[in-house]
Amino acid sequence: MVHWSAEEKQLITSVWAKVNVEECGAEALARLLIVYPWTQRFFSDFGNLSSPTAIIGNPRVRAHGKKVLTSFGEAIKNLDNLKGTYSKLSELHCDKLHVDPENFRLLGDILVIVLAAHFTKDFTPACQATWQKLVGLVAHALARKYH
Amino acid sequence: MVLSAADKTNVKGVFAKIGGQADEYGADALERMFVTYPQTKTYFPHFDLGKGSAQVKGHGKKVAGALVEAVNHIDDLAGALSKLSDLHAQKLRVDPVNFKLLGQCFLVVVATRNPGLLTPEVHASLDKFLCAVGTVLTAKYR
Repeated sequence: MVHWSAEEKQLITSVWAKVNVEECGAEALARLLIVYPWTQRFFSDFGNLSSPTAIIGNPRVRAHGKKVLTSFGEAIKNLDNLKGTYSKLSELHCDKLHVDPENFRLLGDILVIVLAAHFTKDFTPACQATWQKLVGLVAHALARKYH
Repeated sequence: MVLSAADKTNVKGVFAKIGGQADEYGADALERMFVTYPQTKTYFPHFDLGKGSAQVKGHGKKVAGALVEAVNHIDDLAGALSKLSDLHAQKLRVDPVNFKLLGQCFLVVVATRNPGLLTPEVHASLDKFLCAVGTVLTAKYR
């Protein structure tokens, strides 16, 4: 059973309230595909991923980034039940999408960096620690139904 | 993993921009690592790890200095970091997984202090560089 302190919940919700889900999601996914290019293997039907510029401008990347981060928003509404929240998505990522869970960890780390760049000095060490904990737990919940 | 010419240019650019603040970046990265990944504190039982610790600042300066040295000899990381590589293999024996954790924190520090600098391309190059440094430092472990 995950424990969130009152301070951690505050750090999560106050940051999230200021996040533009569409922009942040698009940026996080684009950076994942740029920084760890092997992750492009899951998106062979997304069209032009041939350069950072192409990836950043790719409308399918943007749309999918928004989808992914919107789902993250669901986690934030259900911090005490991440397992339940991600149960179906976990099955999907295993059975249909065949995504190595390591990729969830990579995306989580990228998301933290995107948030750090957005919030700069307000992204304190405590804030970073809380968000790394959250992305780690989301990755874990998404991997939970793998078999 | 190989650093391209573009990667080297990007990394040199980052450190040129950071300049004399590298020591602060190093200390900030360490502080964040200890807070975010508490298991990393196990390597520093002899340190005061409280906020503002002079020992953490001093160690951050050391780490930053090593990174700057690596950047200045980016064409021969193995050579530039050879002594540090020996030290980590024989004496410090920091588990390899921890270099990724410090790398992540260093990227966060650059992002918080200089977000404009961390374009996706530079982010990729810097991440590769930090991975390469970690690889060199653990290369002689066995």
